[in-house]
Amino acid sequence: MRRILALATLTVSLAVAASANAGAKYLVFSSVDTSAHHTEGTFADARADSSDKTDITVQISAGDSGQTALFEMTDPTGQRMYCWATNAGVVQALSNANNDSRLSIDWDPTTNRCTNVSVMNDSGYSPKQP
Amino acid sequence: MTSRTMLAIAGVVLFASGGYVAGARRTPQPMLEHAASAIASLDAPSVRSIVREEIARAGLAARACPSAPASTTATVALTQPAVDPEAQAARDRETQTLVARAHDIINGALANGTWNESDRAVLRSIVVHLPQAEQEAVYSTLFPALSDGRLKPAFAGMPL
Repeated sequence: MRRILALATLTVSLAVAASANAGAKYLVFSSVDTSAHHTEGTFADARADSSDKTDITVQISAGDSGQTALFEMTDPTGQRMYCWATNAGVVQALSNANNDSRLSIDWDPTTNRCTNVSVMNDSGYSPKQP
Repeated sequence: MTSRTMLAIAGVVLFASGGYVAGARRTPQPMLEHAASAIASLDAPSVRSIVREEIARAGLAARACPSAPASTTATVALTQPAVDPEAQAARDRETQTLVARAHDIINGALANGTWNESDRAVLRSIVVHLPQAEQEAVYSTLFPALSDGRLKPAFAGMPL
C-alpha cells in the first residue's frame, strides 16, 4: 500500500513539474548593432546574462516642456548605445515596458533619437529573476 | 372589431400622421421668409455688431469647454490680449543663456572625454527649464557623444 502511494505521489509530482515547464521558451540575448542602428533584448535575459556588462535602462521624465524617454542598452561585449525620445507615442511605448518585456529599438545615428520602438510581452520570454 | 371600426381608426391615424408630416414640411417656409426679410433690413453697422456678439459668445463657450473645435479656439486666440513683447524678450534671453550654458557643459566634458555626475546634475537642472526644441538640441549633442565613446560616463546609471 505504501509503495503504491509513493508511486502515485511521484507520478503526480512529475506531471505538475512537466506542466509548469511547458510552453515555448525564447532566450533573447542583448545586442547592440551600431551599423544597423538597432538594439534588442529582454530585461530578464540581461539580468541573467553571465557578462557583468549587460544592461538595459529605460528612464521616463516629465516636466513643464513635456515628457522625455531615455534608453540605454549595453550588450555582453560592452557595446553601449543611448537614445532619447520626446515623441508622445514613443514615450508611451517605452513607458509600457515592464520587467519581463522584450525591447526592440532603432535609432537615428546623427541625433540618437529613438525612431522605432517595439515593446513586446510574450509568455515565451524568461521571467524576471532576482 | 368590425371592419367599419378598423377603417375609421386607420383613417384617423393617416389623417394625424399626414398632418404632422405636412406641418413639419411647411414650418420652415415662414421662418425663411422672416429671415430673408430681416437680413434685407440690416445695415452695415448692424451686421458688424452681430458679428462682434457672435465672436464674444463663441469665446465664452470655448473658455467654458477647453475641448471646443479648433475654429472656436482660434477665435479665442484672436480676442486674447497680445503677449507682452518685453516679457517675451526677457524669456528668450533667459532661454538663450541656459542653452549656451548647457552646450558649454557638454563641450567642456568633450574636451576631457569624461562625463561626471556633477555634469549630469547641472545639465539636468538646466534641461528642465528649456523648451522642447532646445532640449532636443542638447540631447542630439550629448547622446551621440556618449554612444560613440567620445564621452565616457564616470559613474553608474543614466547620464541625464
